[in-house]
Amino acid sequence: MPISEEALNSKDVYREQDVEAAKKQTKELEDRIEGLLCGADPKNCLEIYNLLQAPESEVCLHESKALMNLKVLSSVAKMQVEKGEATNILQGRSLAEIEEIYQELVFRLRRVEFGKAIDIKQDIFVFLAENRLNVETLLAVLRGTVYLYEKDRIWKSITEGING
Amino acid sequence: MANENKIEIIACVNNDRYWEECCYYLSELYIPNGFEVNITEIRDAKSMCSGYNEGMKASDAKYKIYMHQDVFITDKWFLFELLDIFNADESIGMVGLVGSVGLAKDAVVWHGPRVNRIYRTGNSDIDALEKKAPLNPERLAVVDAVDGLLITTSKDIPWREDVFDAWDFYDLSQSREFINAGYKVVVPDYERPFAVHDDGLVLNLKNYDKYRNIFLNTYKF
Repeated sequence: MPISEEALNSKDVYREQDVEAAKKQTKELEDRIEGLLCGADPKNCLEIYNLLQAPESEVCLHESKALMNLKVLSSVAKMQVEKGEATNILQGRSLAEIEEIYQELVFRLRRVEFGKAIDIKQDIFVFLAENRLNVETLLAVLRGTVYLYEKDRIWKSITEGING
Repeated sequence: MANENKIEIIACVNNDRYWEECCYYLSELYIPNGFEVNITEIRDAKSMCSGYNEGMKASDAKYKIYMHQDVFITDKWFLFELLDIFNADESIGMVGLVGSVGLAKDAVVWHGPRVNRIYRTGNSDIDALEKKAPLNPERLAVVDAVDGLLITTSKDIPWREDVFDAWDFYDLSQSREFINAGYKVVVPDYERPFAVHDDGLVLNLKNYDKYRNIFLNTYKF
């Protein structure tokens, strides 16, 4: 029995050609951003930020978890560059490295969300320092990610852990 | 003879970091007194059914939890809740975390009401389409099918690796196998979720329609 027209026309079932086109478009954007990340100019992050904000990038953001996460982090990088800071959190890292860092942060924040141990909270700040990240990055991940559920409570929990 | 005081957790694994995180949450679970919990990871599985059959045959545990590597059980009392459900009714053979109350005729799970009380990543397209079943006052919903993100059983019935040789519809198939064998398939219906499903933003449905048709033909649903 063929799938119904209604189902095919809804967003929940991709047709194969749509998937292939989206994957091609996503790969092209990832390659372009990879090139910008490797470039020497810290201001490249502004271009990355603008690329990810563009409406035509929506399909790529839907296809690529790495790009979706980079969108969050690029806002921090943009802010750093605008403030005249010499380095930004994106520069010198590959897309894969950025994705890995982002995922680690989400995993660690989620442990705070569902755990109680203070050492977990402190562990996050050690991780930030080791990876040349700052609290603004942590805030951006907290605000921007769709993988966390009670963001205000996590932030309260982390700050209590540090202050307490 | 099955070991009545043993729980086997079985997962097909292809991502070490996700699996490590999954095991972190498993290690935090409270274990019922007198029970042994064992974890089996299946690497390089040919299909979900094939991997789960391998894990099932290798274990003598009465209770088996088949789960995805990207599911993080956040409720530390989960194993207690599970045993309470199985002990309350011997005819319950399978417990899931997400289930279809009245599977739609086309077997597309989000075309019918679902009990879905887990934390999940924000796939707004699917969320918008999904009809949530109202909260069941008896805190237990009898369903037609459960989602494969986590499936618990108290009986061993072989997974249909002869028919479902990939990664789609193995869960609906196994639900039908249990129902056809005379067992109830249920989902605990609590407002507070038991787990996080970190399955990303993209739902891979490339082979979905192929196996959906196989499911419909196999079970004459």
